[in-house]
Amino acid sequence: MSVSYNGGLTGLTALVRNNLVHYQQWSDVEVVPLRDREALRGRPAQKLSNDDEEIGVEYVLPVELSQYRSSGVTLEALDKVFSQLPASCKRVVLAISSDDGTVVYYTVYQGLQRPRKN
Amino acid sequence: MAKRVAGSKRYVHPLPIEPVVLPPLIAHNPLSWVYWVLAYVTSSNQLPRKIPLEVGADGRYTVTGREQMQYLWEHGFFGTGQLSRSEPTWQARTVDRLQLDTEGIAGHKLEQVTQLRRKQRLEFKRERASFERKRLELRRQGVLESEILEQERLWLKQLRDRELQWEASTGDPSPVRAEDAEIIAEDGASVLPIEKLELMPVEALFLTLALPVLHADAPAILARTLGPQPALPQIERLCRLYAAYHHYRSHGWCVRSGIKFGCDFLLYRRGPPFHHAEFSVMVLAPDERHDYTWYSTVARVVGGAQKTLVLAYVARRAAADQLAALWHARRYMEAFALFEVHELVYRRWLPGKNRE
Repeated sequence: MSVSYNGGLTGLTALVRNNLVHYQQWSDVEVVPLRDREALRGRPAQKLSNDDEEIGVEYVLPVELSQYRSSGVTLEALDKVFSQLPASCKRVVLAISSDDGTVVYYTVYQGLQRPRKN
Repeated sequence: MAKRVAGSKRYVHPLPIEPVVLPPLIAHNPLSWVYWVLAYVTSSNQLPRKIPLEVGADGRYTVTGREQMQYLWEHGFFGTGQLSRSEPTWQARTVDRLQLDTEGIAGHKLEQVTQLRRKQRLEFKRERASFERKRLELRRQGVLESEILEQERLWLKQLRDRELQWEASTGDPSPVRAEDAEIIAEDGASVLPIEKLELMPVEALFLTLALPVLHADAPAILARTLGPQPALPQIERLCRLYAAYHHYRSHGWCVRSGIKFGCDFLLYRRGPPFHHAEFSVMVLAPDERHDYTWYSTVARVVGGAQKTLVLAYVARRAAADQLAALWHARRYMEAFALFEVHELVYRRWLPGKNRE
């Protein structure tokens, strides 16, 4: 028997939302509706980068790997996403879901960004 | 949970096939012959019941149920837990995190908190008693009532400060987050099984067509993956992936998704609990060409993880028409058999390091 919690969400957004909340242990995760897609917003359990001063609200963009491969993630597409998010948002976390159930996360910054300190 | 069982004991079977164990045959004991023949005829290495495969509306292939997920993981490391790195361990991890073992939500922690609270309460009572004695003394000395009230306020503030300090030093004692409300069962003592084991399309096909342990319908799987009217290039791509997957599985490798290293498959000698994957496979068509940056990017990611990059060129040995005909006749295994795999290893060579 299995139970799934979608909270009314479907497909990819629900998958990434559950991954963030119940695997990565993010808090206050909610959906941010954009014009033609959905993003998520929440607080990570740990700092995403050592260069961060403190944990803040992060924006997550769920993407299917097939979309990524067929150039669904272009500079134009990302610019469009950034333009719909608050101006304070300098980076977006791409949540790429593959066909094996894994979600991999990559960070995309707006403009030039110093390589992170490891 | 078979958590502490040694790997070599837990993972005896590299694939979901278990050999039949026959009783000993003793030459001078005819009774043992009868028993042997009976065992030979009646025993079977088929699963008593096939594992149901769920095909989601989003085209994901999942298996649910703790035992079934565990069976597929322990017999060849099939699938990935949607909320785990690979083995579906979310349930056990969450029970640990919430300390749900036997006493219900945060059992031990709650007890500790109760004890601390009791100690605090006792201390407060002692303090209160000593202040009341002090107040009585002050009244006896004829100190103004307003002065006594001021003293009491000061004392209360002192107590509150001490309490705040104590709370800050112990931190939040509860491991339960607000988000956990949706995963804790109504009895408050168990975690809802929200994790599913997800299979790659090629894994689902392999476990349906080659080693039939899944209760699934191959045409339905393919329709979900490719859509109702797939074009030939899409069919060919899936055939290439399947041919490569089956090829390495039949050569004894444990094949898993390569998403974490930007390639198609990872090859493990036995499986993830034993060693790191040694090889990363990129499945290509023989006429597929990429610019140099493509090869170098793939190789650098794979090389950074101490793996060898294998370019698997999967060639079709028959005309495209033949493939299309077999496909539409739903003779999938014959269609897959039209492909053969040729490997090439791509290695970054460093003159300073690779002297031998």
